[in-house]
Amino acid sequence: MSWAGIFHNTSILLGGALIGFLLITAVAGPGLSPNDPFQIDLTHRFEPPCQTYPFGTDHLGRCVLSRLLWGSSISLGSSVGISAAIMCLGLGIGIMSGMGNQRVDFFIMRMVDMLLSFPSLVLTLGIIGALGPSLFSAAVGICMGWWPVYARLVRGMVLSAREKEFVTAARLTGTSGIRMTTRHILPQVLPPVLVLASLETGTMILVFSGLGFLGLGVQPPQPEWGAMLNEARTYIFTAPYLLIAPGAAIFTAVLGFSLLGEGLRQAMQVRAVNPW
Amino acid sequence: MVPLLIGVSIISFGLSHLSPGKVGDLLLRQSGGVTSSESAQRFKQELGLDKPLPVQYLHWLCKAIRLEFGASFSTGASVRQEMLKRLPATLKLTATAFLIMIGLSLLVGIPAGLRPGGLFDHISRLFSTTAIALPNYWLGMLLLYLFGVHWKIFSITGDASGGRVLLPALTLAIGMSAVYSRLVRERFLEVFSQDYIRTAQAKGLALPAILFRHAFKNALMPLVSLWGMSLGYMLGGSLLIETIFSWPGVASFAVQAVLNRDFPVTQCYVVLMALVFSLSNLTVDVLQTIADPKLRRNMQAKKV
Repeated sequence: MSWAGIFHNTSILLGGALIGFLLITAVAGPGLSPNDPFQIDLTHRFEPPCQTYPFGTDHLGRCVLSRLLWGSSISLGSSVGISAAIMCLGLGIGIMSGMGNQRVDFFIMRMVDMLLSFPSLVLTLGIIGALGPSLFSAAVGICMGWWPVYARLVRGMVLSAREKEFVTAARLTGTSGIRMTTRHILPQVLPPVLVLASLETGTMILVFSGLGFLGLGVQPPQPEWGAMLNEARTYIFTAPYLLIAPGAAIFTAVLGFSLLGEGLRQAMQVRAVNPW
Repeated sequence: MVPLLIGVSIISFGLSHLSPGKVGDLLLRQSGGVTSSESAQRFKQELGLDKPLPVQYLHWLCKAIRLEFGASFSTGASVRQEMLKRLPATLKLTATAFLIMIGLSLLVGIPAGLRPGGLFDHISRLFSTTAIALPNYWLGMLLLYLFGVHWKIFSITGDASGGRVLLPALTLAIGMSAVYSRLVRERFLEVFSQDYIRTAQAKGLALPAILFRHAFKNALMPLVSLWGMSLGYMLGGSLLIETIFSWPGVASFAVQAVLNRDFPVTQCYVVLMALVFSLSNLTVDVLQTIADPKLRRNMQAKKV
């Protein structure tokens, strides 16, 4: 796969552009926002879009656009962080399982089986229930719910990578286990895993904002997209337009990551995993 | 299956020991008791929280098998009764969503697979790309607004009876059918390039006959193994969908329980869902072995 090929893939280009745009809003959001996202002004509740409030105001008179811009760093930052953590966990444990002796492998895989007997989101809910609703417990819960899938996947990749002839050759020349892992196995496993991480980040945004929506993740008054939707839900009769902006933001972000990931996946010919 | 269930029970039990404030203290504070160390001690003795962990676990397991998780912290009612009362509503929602998902993905996937690169293929690709990225809780609220508030066809509050299930089930199904329709398309593409289909076409068989007699079973059999997985996704997704549509099932109950730190309810929910999920995975495995002779032969070969 050449660089030129990547630039000719519309899916990658479109996804990359969407993510680039959102990253700019996430980084520069606080500077770009026209108003203070925490400023409560009860005289300006439910204002329609106007010059000072381009997207209108919410039930406490806060500027929706400002909250959206501030929220993008929370929503995107957390989701990317969670996705990276899951990848690291999955990669580390999967390689341990694939490279370790039979007993280690057996132990890890049974552990994975156990965790996979829960629907991922249900396990996440259980962990949040134990730790109490907050951003931190949502992040821990999501990591625990999703790493087993990736550990199993990485293990499979490691096992097939070990079958390659140059790996056998390296083993015969007496390469140590650690050097074998870092120099011969990891370079084979890492590219497909990174591609899947991009696809996974989209799912993480959905799940993380979903938890925020249920009130189990980021707590008010923090302007997270899911939490904003939750606040808007109460006013579905009086101010239904409040539903539009946060939902559209989540949709755009997920679309960006899934287009990029899907494009990269096809370009690099990585086998798909089921996204649930 | 049995070692797995034991593992599941250990994880569920472990969850209660994750919480930073010990369950006993929390319970004591919520019941309005004095938090002197003496009364706390007595309280813990009553609950058996002063015993070593393995003893506590066995004690817990004996009750958990009968789904006895005691009384809810917030309402005082028996968790088991409350859960079993609400379970049918969740199962109805999940089952309907499952049927809609299969129907929708066949409807979108098969025509796309028969004419790859055609107009319908492009439309179906657009559908799946959009639907995968669409947050189902957002879609749910937009539908709720349109049907419930704007057109007033759907009653926003109410019980789990009749056709009220359709809207939440559709919302729950759409994300998954987006993924599924792509898989259906790929399978039909593959099957239609096989020799036996060409033979059937050469015989002059009509398209419906080819589809139903020859292609259907071969194309869809490998996808059956994903059913269990998609059910797990739907059980998780019901947490959001039940809350939005105020569906009186176990998931919306569990969300409320987490918000109220009502631990027995959360724990019962987690165990119950693991049970439902494991049982349905088992059912799918059995169904697949019955339906697929290839799989059966493989299993017999392994035994010898």
